[in-house]
Amino acid sequence: MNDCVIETQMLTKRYGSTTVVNNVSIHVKRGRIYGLLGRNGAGKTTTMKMILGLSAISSGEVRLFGESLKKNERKLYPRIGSIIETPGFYPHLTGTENLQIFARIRGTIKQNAVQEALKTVGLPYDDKKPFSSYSLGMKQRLGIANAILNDPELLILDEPTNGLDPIGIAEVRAFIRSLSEEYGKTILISSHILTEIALLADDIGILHHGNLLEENTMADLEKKNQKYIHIQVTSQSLAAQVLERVLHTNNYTAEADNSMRIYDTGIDLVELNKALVSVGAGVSTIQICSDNLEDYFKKITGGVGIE
Amino acid sequence: MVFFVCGMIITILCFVIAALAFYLYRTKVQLMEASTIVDEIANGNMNRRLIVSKTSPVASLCYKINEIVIQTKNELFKHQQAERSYRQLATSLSHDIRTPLASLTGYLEAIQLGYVTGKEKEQYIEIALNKALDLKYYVDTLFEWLKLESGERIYHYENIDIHEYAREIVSEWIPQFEKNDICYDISVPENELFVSIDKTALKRILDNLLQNVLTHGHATFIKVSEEENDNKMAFEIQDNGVGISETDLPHIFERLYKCNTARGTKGSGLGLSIVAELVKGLHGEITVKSIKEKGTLFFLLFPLLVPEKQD
Repeated sequence: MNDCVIETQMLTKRYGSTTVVNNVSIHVKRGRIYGLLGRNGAGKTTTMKMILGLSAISSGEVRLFGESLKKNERKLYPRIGSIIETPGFYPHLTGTENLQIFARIRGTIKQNAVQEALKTVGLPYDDKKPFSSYSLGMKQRLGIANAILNDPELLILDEPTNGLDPIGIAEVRAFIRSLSEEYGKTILISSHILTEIALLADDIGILHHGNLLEENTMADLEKKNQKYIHIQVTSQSLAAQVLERVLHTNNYTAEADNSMRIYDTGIDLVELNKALVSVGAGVSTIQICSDNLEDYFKKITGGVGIE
Repeated sequence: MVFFVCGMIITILCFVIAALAFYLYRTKVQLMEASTIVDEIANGNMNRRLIVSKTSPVASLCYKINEIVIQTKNELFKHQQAERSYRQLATSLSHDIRTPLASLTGYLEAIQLGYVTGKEKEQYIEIALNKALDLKYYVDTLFEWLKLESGERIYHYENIDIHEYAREIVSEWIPQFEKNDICYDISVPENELFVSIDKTALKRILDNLLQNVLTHGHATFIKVSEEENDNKMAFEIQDNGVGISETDLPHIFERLYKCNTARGTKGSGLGLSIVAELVKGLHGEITVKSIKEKGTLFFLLFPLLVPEKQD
């Protein structure tokens, strides 16, 4: 089984002489949440649209579930649920009627699919309210219900929390987490808010002016977000003793490979080194690891940062 | 005329046959498509679903297959999750043991290598011993927790005077409160009330909660109360300490959850999860309220099992 559910190769979108998406190769792995992070206009939505065939590809290739998208659309698209921008529903019909139409067009996976999808997102089944009088939050929920109607393997969600209030955002976030953790879905999600992606994604791709600047796992990025002194010594026990007796700190952990982390970053490195060497704790590495995500993004986006 | 009628019948028959053939062909295609998808499911992709039109003749078959796949997947998922959390546990444990062990051996090595002499050496031995005892306590806690987690703990119900017993447990903590300059208010009714309860479990619950106030609370005041209320036993442990932040609060009863993550902070992350398991074992309830910098309130409720009268 191919590990990548979505793989784009040198995906490019040009409008005349302007390149909106430039040679983007993203890799969305099975069962993970992939966060596409970028400022407004960075090319997130366009990338998603090209994956979904809603926008023509100028050059490059999209592979879904290990197969080339070209000529396999009819087979591959039913396996995907998506929300791109504001979901399009008939304004004068109710939420239930809208979903029933989609269910008839696309087919369903069970008898009461519409009812269950509505229940999952917390919308009433068979009520009389037309879509046009839904609140923004309800509209977004209906969009999600439509996306999960056929229990798809892959979800592509473009800014799903856009326009929601803080409680709504937290709910949607928890829901997306549960889709991944409890139902094993693969999810591609975009956002321009760093903290939101940081809370949700397992993997992250950063788009800036149509270029993919970085693709990495969140765990790796988080390592960059901590502040600690990293040392590697020949004897952890002697180092531990020095830390406690000479430098008076308990705020450290002993890691594998004889390395240690000291979270008390006020310690002077020269003094630390001297103390370690004096007891024969053989120092091979000593460095301060301090970076925060925000700074890091600023650095790689060339100083502008991401909201 | 006869020819005309025959012609008509033959034409109609042809249409009917063509329609039937088309219908059969379509059903066959649908079945073949379904079959490839089922193959994929059989190969392990449990996220695959059969999507059909409600009116299709194969709809109910497909719906049933979907239902079975979804059910199997949910079962499978539960197993995987349990496995994953055990692996996490193992990693976390090796981590929690490695740091104190490194520290302990450090003191012993310093003594052995002769870095310290005389009074200082004595002091080092004492520190090392205390660290070894802490580690022992940690390992004991761990085993207790593992026993609870695997459902091996057996509850022994005894008949005791609950008010007296509560007083006994809490009063053992008074020297600790005084040592840490914590004012205390203990309110337990004076009368006798015999109930049936597992003494060790109850003691462990209260001890762990009180220990937490000392280790993490940084409180200057603690209030412990016990009363009988509406056929239940209610305990309250309230402090005015640092409190628990909103983001941590929903997770505190989870195993290995530690506030201030990624730090070499005190505690095993098991204390409250033991509390939660024991409370469950005693068919009780535990709730917590906490405001950052204002304090924390743990509220316990147990069913009041009045022992049968014996002669």
